[in-house]
Amino acid sequence: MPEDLHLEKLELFYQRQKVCGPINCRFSRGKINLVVGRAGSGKSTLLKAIAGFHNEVKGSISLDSQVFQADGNIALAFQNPENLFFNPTVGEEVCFALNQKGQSRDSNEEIGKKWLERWGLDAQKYWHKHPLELSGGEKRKVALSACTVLLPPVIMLDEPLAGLDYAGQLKLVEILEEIACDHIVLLVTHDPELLLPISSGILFLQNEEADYYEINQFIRNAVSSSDFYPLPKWYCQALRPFDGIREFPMINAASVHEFLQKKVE
Amino acid sequence: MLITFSPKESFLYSINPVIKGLITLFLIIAFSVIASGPVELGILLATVVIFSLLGRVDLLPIIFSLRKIFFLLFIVGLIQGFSQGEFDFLLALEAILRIVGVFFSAGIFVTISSQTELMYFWEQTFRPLALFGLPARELALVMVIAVRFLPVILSEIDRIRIAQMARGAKLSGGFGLSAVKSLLPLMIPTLSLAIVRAGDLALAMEARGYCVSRSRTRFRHYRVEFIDLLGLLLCLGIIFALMKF
Repeated sequence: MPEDLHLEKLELFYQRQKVCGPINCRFSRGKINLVVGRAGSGKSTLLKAIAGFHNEVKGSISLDSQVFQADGNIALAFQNPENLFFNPTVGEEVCFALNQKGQSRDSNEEIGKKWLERWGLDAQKYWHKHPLELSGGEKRKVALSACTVLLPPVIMLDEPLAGLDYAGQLKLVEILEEIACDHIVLLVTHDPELLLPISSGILFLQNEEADYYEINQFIRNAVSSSDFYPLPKWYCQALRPFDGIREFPMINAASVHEFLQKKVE
Repeated sequence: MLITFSPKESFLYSINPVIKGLITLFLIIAFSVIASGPVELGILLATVVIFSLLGRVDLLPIIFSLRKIFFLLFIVGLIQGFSQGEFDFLLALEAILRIVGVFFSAGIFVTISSQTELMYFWEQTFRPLALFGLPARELALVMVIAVRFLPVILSEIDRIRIAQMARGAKLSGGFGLSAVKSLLPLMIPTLSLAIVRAGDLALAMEARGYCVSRSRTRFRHYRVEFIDLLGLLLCLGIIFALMKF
């Protein structure tokens, strides 16, 4: 499995207008790599550029020092899950990539069902349903499982938390933590606080520029000034007293809940 | 960049849809069959371009789309150039100018005509068929829907292709049977989605009171004005002048 994806002097353009860049950073496997930024900062365009779907690009992308050419070695879950659907049933959606690889249909169905269950959907119940008839959260889960079932070396997810309930978000974090051990995972999000404990770094896109931060440095900047990046108020207030120490304790809503419950008891 | 209607305010846009269609038809005939040399064809093409620019027509999408038929132009140029033994550049240029002229004329017509105008044009064109008991209005509607949905279907093909590639699927190309086989995963969902879309469209039309058997009224009335006839005469005049030239 590849070790890192290196972006060097990468500049993104949209209809000849510069969107962002130059981006210089190295996304590695082992932990998740986050991409954040305000709406329109170029996050989705960056993922599409790496996937080879956006060609207005300057600079270079390399995978383990080799020029990176997206060709059956990436998975990209779009922001809108409906954009991924083109089959009449959930089962066909999940098994599409497996079937394209030419394995036997029976074994693919078994793998697909297991993978769908892993994402928290009952395969028996959903297998023959039309993907567009599902709820927002269910569509998201089907799209994520259909995209990741092949587990290619580079996995990119565009705002995967959107539309998921809290249990679904925790499930996603759990699965991504596992996948990131062997794959390079890039994740675009507007709610990074849930993913910070399992991330190695953050690429922050703003004002046509891109800066890469270590997690602690990013939290320190966000906690000291809400103008830097708007993390939730409760998150910043909980972490502000730890500003002096080297590494911030990693918290999320679950740990805060646990702490409060202990206090009540 | 697709060639589609881009609304603007100018004399070209305000011409009666049937006259617009007739001018386009005469231009296409002139570019296709009139026996003239590259100079006359060049002058005609330049006149079309100048009038389009004066009429504020955005020619960029048409020029960009020309790139897609570049290979065809090259082949036609070669065949015509070598048609009399040694390569004749003027013959090659003449053939290329004919195709470019037809392409420009049709492209400009689509750019300056809204869906309603196109519908009106087709209706009037198919009108004589009603004499033989054929459903002229419905045929016109089919034509307009087909033209209207072509870009939608093309973008749908693109979306499905990207959705398949986004899952780590390798869409191999190749030649012959393997090329056809690689297209199947793309064509089957496109076709089934097009049928679903057609059903949705039928429902939407019926929900708004559309019925095949009833005669309908018209919201917009297009009258042939003096300026429209002047435009048509000007076009015919230029074509005849170039024929005599």
